[in-house]
Amino acid sequence: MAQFISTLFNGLSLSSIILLTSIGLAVTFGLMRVINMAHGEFVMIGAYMTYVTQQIFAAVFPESVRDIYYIVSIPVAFGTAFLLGSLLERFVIQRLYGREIDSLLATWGISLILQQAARSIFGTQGVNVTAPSFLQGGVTVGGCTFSYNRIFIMFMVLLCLFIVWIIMYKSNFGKQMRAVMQNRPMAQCMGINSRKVDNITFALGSGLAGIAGCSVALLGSIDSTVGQSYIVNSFMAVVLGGVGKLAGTVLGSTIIGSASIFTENYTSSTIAKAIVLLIVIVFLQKRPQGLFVIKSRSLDE
Amino acid sequence: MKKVSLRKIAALAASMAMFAMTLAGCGSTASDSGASSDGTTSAAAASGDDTVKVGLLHSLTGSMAISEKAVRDAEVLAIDEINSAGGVLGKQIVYVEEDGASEPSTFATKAEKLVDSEKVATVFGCWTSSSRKAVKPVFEDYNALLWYPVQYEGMEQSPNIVYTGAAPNQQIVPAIEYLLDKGYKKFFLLGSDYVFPRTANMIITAQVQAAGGEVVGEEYADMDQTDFAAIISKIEAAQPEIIINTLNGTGNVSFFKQMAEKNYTSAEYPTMSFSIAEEEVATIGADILKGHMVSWNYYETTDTPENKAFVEAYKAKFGESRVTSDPAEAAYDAVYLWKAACEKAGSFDVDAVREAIAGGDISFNAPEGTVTINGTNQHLTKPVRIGEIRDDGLIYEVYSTPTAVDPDPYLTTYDWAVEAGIQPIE
Amino acid sequence: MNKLIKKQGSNICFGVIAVVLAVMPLLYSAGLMNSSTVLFLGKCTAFAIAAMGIDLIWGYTGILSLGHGLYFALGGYAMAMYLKLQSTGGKITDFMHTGGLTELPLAWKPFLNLPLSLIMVIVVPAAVSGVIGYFIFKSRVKGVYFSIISQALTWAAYSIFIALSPYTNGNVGITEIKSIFGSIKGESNKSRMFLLFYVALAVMIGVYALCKFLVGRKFGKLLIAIRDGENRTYFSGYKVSSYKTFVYVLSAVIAAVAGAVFVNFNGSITPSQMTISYSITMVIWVAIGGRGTIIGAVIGAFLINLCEYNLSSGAMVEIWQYIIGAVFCITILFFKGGIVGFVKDQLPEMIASRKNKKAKTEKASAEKVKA
Repeated sequence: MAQFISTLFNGLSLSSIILLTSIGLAVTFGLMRVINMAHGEFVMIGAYMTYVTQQIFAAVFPESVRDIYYIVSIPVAFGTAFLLGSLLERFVIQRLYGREIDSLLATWGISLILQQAARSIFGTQGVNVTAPSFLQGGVTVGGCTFSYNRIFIMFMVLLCLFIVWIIMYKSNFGKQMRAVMQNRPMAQCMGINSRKVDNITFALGSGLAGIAGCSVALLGSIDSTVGQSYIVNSFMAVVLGGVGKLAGTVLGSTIIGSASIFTENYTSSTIAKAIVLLIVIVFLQKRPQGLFVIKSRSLDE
Repeated sequence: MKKVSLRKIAALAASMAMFAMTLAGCGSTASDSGASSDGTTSAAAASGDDTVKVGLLHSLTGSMAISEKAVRDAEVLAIDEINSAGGVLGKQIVYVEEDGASEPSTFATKAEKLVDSEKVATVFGCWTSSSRKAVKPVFEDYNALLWYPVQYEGMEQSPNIVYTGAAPNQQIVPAIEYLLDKGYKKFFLLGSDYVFPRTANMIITAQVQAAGGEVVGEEYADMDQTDFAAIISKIEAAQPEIIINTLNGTGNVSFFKQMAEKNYTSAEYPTMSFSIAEEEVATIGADILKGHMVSWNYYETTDTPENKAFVEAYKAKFGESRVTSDPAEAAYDAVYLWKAACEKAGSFDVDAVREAIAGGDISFNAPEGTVTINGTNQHLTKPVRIGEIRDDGLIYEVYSTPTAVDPDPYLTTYDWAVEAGIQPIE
Repeated sequence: MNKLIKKQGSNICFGVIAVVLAVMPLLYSAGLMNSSTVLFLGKCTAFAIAAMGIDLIWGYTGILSLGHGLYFALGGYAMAMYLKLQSTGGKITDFMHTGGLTELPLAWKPFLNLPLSLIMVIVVPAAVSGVIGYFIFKSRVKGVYFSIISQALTWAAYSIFIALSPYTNGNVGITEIKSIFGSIKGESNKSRMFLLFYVALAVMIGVYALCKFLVGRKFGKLLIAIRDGENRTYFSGYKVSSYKTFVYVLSAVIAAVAGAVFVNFNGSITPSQMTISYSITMVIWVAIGGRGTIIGAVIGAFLINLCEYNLSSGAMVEIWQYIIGAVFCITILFFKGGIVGFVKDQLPEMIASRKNKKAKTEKASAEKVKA
């Protein structure tokens, strides 16, 4: 029983990490139809920003308040990624609307540049972020240990989801955003500044990747290639869930995350990875548009 | 048309530049295209003037750049030191650097470029076994010399490669002996899914079983695995007394951080690692790693006068925050050993140098202690040290072999290894 | 003359490239060229072949596959398995021994003889791509969805190849093999190297001719029709999914042939040839050379690889990453047609507009003078 609960927790935890890295994608890919191959690099930027914040705190503030750095690093990571995302949209993505495949390739070029920039700035070696004391270790209940960090990540995901949901469905900006995504010319006719909406939407997606970077910084290595290890799973989660629906991304991440952990319990991790991807691909045969489909009468999207 | 012209012109200029560079590149392939990065003048060939050209071949981009940069830096340090001390055979060393891009085929291509187009006297390079295996035929076919500075899984010896890192019997076997002596019986083998962990674990299994111990689990993580939760639960289920860890760089970080998350320290699950040196400790965090064991030939804390000078020079050149490590030290030794071999041979000619090495008396007072190239298998005789990671992020020696250990890449002098038949077939 | 260049421009250009390549070994004989450069050009020839296959499926049909590295590697492995067995004399290899196998696994048996191996170079990737293509295109997965799935497939295949290390030697791959004609390195084996080089060149010319033949016919027009208006093509009564599957298989086979050629020059094949980034690199060649032109793929493959060969060393390493990223980005943003498109369309346009401007100002000044 304890083992089952532990597995369940691990599955949920991995799902939440995948979800955190794919919410941003769900926004940029799902809503804007832009395939941002540099999304992983925004995760990397978030992770490095956590490191930078930690270093600044270590240099400036007394020992007692240093743990706060992690809390501060979240808005810092979000802000930096948001800003860079906004710049990227302004200078590159903007010219690629309606050219999905080209956006994929152009952003691959961006990702090469960003990776090299990370190497030039921070060196090729990885850097270390120490977990703040309130996230170190875990709580043991009935033989299962639940790590504070992973519980924290789950809360972060819920918070991010909630905020994105509020922005998208409850705010005025969200209304404009959805209007632009659904019917651009009509939205423009209604007086919506579609350029601004595009810019903020893309920046928002990038910012969310930055927050994901904050979380993965505590789980693993921070180096120039960290984004690459998350990107494929995130894309699969968005595609599996169905593009344009947040609920789809949630379900997609959960399926991939739990399936990975459960298969890995019985096989090796390499085989588990292959099996999960093959399952997803086979599943997409049945529903090529993903689990949740936005109904549309148009033929060519 | 008018509006876009500026943009177009900028882009045009960029593409023109590309073209020009290709043309320039094509034209100069036969001459000296790669000048060394420190602004040292690049000479045309080894003979003639007063310089000798060597190649450095490491990954400066891609996933392996994390590890290989330190090794490359140590080689540059040694070259600079030798140059300021008067060079080799009266000639200053210039180095040509190529990027292997963490990709074995690129390594092969670049190795060929170095030995054939650039006509370097020797090459210092590679880290992963896959890159070494990819370049090995190149060095053999062109009869060139490679100095390989990293501990590896053994089962190989090439007349065109000098292995300055540890063979398995200079790192893995003594470490397991040490653990068996300490009374550990239940071993869990954890590694990344590539050739070094798989071969190392094959050796360890044979050794542990011959000594009456038990291997309670063997797991391989994917190369870019970020989540170790499932593997950690497998370890929990197996209840080992010791974990033998052969994960690679990024895998180590994730694994230890996620072990710490579950409140596990070296007290509950002690580990013996073969790929964690001072560099890795810095990226994982000493607070997490303290108390865990590692096995190498050298630590930054190794107490020799040569090491004191080496650590000082390394930090002075690359920054106070940088640490020295076993692979970096082995790379540093490689350059000096090559110098010694050239001086004995009295020439830079590969055959002459190889003959000098075959004499079996090329040695160097290295930071780790005196190392000597074994004349038959071209590995080094070197001391072995078991270390423990402490709070300050440094590794301290807790045991060392009484004398330097002779290299035995095929483990032919170990009865259990011969019985288990782990030697490659002929 | 002008007309000839316009009509036959790409063929002339390809002819020039082929002749220049053919001269290279002679330059080497004359001592003006290093053997490593010739061998590298041989590898580039293989890359150019693969790029043409990608151009067929991406440039003409509009399907972006981010997984062609898989087929390149499958062809490479098939060839390498044969060559490896040649060097072991048909016995099991050392990695099989290490992996606990005592006799040659069944999957390796066909690679004991050459004709069968060459057939496998074609059949294995054709079968894999056929199955994948059939199912994916039948369920009308298209656009970026296909790209992402192909990317994931490559990722999965990479994992499988590493996990099956007793059969594939994991991430080390198959190393220490000679070429199909025997050893090609060193002065004494020069004639063999030349033979291999010219065979590779012939294969490249053959693939070019095949691609040109296909795209010059109605078939090529259909591919473009699928790219520009898939549903309209459906409505016109064509079974689009079959065409797509066919092109996908064809380009996979071309990539596999390229892989087989590559192995001969490289002397090893590793799973890193089937990574996502390697696959995207291949697309970069086509994008920069010029998609949908065949010749663009060849130019791109040679240009990028030669630049990389000469520039990714020493102090240039860091800058090279920025250059390739930026050039790629700029090409996609502003020069959709790549180099070929630029030379063919944008350059004449620019010249023409400048001429017009000049003419206009001259006219204006003339009028002024009149006034």
